[in-house]
Amino acid sequence: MSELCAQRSCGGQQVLEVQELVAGYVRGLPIVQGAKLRVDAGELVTIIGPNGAGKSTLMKAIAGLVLIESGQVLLRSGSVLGRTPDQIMQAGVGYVPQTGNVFATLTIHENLRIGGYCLGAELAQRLEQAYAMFPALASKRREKARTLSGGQRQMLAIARALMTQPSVLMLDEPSAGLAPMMVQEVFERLRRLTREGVSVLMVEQNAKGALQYSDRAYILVEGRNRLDGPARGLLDDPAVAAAFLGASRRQVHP
Amino acid sequence: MIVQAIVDGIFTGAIVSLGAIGLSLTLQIMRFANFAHAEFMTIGAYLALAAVGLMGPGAPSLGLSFGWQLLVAACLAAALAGVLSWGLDLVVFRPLRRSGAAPLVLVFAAFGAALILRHVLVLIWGHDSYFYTRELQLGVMIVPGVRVLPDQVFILALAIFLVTLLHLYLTHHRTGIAMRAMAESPSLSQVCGIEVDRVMRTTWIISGFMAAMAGVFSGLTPQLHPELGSNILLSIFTAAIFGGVGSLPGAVLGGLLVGIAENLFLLVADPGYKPAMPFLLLLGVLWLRPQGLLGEKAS
Repeated sequence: MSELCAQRSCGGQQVLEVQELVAGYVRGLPIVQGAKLRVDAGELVTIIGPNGAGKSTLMKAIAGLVLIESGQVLLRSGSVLGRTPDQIMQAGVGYVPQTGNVFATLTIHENLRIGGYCLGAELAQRLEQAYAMFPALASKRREKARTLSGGQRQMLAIARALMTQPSVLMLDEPSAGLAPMMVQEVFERLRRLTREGVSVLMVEQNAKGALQYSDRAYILVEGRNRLDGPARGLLDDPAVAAAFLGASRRQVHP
Repeated sequence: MIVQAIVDGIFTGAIVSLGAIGLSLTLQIMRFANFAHAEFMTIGAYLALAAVGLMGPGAPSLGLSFGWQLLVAACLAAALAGVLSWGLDLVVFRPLRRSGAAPLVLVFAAFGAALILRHVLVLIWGHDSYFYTRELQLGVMIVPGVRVLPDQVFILALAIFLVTLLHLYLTHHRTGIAMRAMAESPSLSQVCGIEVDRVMRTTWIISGFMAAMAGVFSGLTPQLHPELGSNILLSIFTAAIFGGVGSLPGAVLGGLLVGIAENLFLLVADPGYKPAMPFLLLLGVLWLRPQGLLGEKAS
């Protein structure tokens, strides 16, 4: 299976596969040092790990925003190597960065239009779908995104990334800076998305909370895979709890 | 006296605003200070002169010193200047951008480009001043003690028309919204699939077009010379920064305020000090409100 994948694209159940990825901002100084992961259709997969483990960089590499030195990133349509961020987006990868994930000076409606920039005639229909999915945004469509609360911003960022109906949605710390109630709502929202056929890959500092909603998780340390497996198993593993879940809780509430 | 100075300032300000708009757009979207921008005012003015040379300035009509021919010439010149502005990007700035040059390198490249462009104009037309038309215009008294030229009123109306058009483009057209998105966050724009090259091309064309329009009407009141653009460069920069970089209403407001301030300054100071006024304003703005009057701080 893996051999076949290495040739052209990931097939079967997989929507995203990362093989032995080495990536970073400067050539010769990789931050991600041989990481691998896989996301299957309809899965919610979380990447956790200490600060500086390369979680965000890994995600940026998949999105085409940082330099990939070696390894492979495969989508159903083939490798992303050598493709620009907009081509990767068009190939079905939605990406919500951790900060600056909405255009604060644009209205909500304009943000969604930009999300659907590459769409043609179907734009109007998608806009309606987005507002139906996020009614709180519909009532504020003429307002600037910077007037939104943290939770609403995150919803707008997700709605924006969903405009092109990606097959996999990547989120970098979607719960960062949100009130506990909102964190739950965001996770539940992502869980619901997977039932609608969008696979989700997220990076989280709030490891315990994220794992409760995830199917599988990867623990990344110093740019490499340390552990992976079903989220439930990792949650129940005392060694994981001591090394990663406790630590991440302290990071969230210093 | 003061009212007359304010009225004159508004008319000067309309021209400064048109120049500032393009500068503000390129400053925000291309992320460097394009010192060659004002040369497109000069280029536009001389291209229109060439067109007027072919078809004449037209018979004075509606109280204006020119006819429809000059307006056609202005539009042709502005369109051509827009394309040339894009061409300058292709030849000078884009290769630098692709090689990862720092913003300061682009600024110096712009300085060099400005010198070359200005001297090409001098080579073709020389140092002499030119006029579009030899018609003399008399000021019309609108209220006791305040005179305006019909040409000035026309320029103000045209500036308002162009700004409105641009505003609608930036808020309703797909590429216009993408320009504002790029201005705020190039990386998020890329992730959203915006075609960066297309947005940049549109930005250059619009800024060149607006600058040329400003140049033609600056040349109409009253003459053209090779330093037409470079003389007003500092006012344009002040207007763009004063109003808030990236804000269209800001650039317009900034232009009007700079125009008025310059004319009021002349009431109390020797005209020799006129070039100092934009500097003083600029210092004041940077000190009190660095993001400009209507500038938006992206979070």
